[in-house]
Amino acid sequence: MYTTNSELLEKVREGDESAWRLFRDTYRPLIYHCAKQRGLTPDDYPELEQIVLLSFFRVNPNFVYDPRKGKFRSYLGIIMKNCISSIFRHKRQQAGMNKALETQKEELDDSFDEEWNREWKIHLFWLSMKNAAEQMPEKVFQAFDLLEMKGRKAAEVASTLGISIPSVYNYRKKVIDFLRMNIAEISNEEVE
Amino acid sequence: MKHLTDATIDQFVKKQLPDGERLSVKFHMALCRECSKRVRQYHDDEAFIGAYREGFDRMNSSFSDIQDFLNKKEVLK
Repeated sequence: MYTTNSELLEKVREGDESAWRLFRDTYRPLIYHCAKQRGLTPDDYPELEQIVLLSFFRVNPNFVYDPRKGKFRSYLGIIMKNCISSIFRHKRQQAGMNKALETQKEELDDSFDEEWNREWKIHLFWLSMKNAAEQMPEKVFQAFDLLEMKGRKAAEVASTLGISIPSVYNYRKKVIDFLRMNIAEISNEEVE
Repeated sequence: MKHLTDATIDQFVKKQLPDGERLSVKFHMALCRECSKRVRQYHDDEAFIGAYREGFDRMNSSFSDIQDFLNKKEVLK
């Protein structure tokens, strides 16, 4: 069953360890991927992840995310932007880097929002693929994955999975319909 | 009239058919409303997946990288 961000954050706030792990694992690829795009290294990642995920509760330990007040995507995007800037500022201060580098990073910040929105959409697809892999019968998902994501021919997929070629296409359609519905469900959670 | 197979539609949409067969499919679509609708649907589905495919591979790759990195850090502790 799909858990909304509000429900998940509520459980994290209550100290639910498994909710915390789910929250972390859900956003880990997105956070790391965006950090990498911005020039942070894997060594910076643990600090960034901690700051980003704890930011939800740092200002107010009793923080309650209210979807009526704004999209989760926007909220997380602002936190990411501020945290990445903070890490770069800290690095510059430590290394005593010159103003030129500071200016370069500030100019790049203007493109962050566009990049964030683009990566968010990929994140929704990634999340839906994960949900499909967990919720759909194994062969159904595998048929889709091999055919569409790994570019195998239908005959090869059918042979590998021990199913007919028409079944390969049937399963493909089932997974695509699931992904469309799941992405819409996750997107609709956010209030316009 | 026999309808197009899913495999034929798949190859047509992905531009993997030889020119002669491609023309045959177009001719069939002009005569068969059902197959024309199926091809359009397949196009839509392919466009939907295509929009995410490259980004998904990159994000998956990033996820593997960071998981490996974090696992190594755990091992070294």
